[in-house]
Amino acid sequence: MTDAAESSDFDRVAADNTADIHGYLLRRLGDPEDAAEALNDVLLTAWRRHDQLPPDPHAARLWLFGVAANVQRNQHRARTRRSALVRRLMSDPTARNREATGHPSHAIDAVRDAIEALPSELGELVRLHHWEGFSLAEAATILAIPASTARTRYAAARRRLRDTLRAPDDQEAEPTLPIQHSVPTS
Amino acid sequence: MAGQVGGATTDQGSPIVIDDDTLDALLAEARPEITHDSECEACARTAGARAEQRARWPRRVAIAGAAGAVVLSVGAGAAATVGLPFIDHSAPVEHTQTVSNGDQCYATYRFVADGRRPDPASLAAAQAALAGLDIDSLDISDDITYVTDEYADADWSGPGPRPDFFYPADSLDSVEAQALSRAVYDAVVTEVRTQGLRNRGFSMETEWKCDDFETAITGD
Repeated sequence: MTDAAESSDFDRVAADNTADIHGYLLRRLGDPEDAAEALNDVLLTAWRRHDQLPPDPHAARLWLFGVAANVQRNQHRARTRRSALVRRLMSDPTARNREATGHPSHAIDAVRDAIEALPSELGELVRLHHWEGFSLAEAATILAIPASTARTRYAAARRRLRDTLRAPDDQEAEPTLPIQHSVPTS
Repeated sequence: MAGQVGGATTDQGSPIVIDDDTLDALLAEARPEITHDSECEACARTAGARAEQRARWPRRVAIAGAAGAVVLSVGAGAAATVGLPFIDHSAPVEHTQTVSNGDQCYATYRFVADGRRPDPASLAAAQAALAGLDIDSLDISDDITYVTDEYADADWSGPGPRPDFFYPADSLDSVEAQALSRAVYDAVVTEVRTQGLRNRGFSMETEWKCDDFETAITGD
């Protein structure tokens, strides 16, 4: 393939996926400027490696998200957040909109905290699957792990999330999840 | 009595079961809805800059730096009655750090109010302490050990989908940049405490760019 053709393919793939990748980065990094900077790094890095771009558009999309996952992971590692407030605000750029959802905001906060508390390899799998809409097989490709490993990790992540979300929160006056009490039938 | 979450009910005091549907719904609802404008201004800006970046790529590789951000907080605290200092030290402090391999990290440090009950006096004291701090004189050896240990288990590796698939590595420069930010924070907190103030109600924000970012991202 000529350089011009490769460049054209890259431009097409980038144009098709840039908005989604920007959304992914914005959700993961929280800050719009950080997300824009990361997006720039993703495209720049991908362009530098565009000779590795898979010819199939779907495979190319997963490859681009793999680059994005690497870039955001590097940025994410560089952050140390000691403040729960800051962490919540940075991980949730639209905190003001959450009351419109079906569950109370504290329950949604609890779920986000539980995802954040997962080991990184589990949390990213959950986010890619539930937030970015990738199948586990696709997420496995993005994270460069075997599909079987992804399935195992995903199952482990769900177990951990259940354990975390059902545990009482000693530091809050209200329960982690909305709990309704009723008289048992037996 | 029984606790009920989603479709499952258990005796009170027993673990509450969250069924698959409830967990799926919660995970879906937890997805942050971004304020992503339809034009995706950032995307357009990035796409527009890409052609220029291609032309400048070799130079970009040479000057690219590590980017990172740190927020160190001491949490919320009660408001103090001590008045604010007259001089405003709220501006970020810029600092260039030469790390052990000769690379440079360009950092900014800033103390800002944080927590549900910010403490203006402590914040002002922290900002003043930062403004007067000799950052180059700080010993960061213990902080390097701390940061290295803290991030050791964050390193990720695994089989790639293709032999030439690249993996990111933590920026080595960033380790020292983070270590320095910890040392700056600790020095400022020590000074705040020396003044009899409480180290709460403020946080330190740090951003840095280091010379080895590109190699850390690409794995070259």
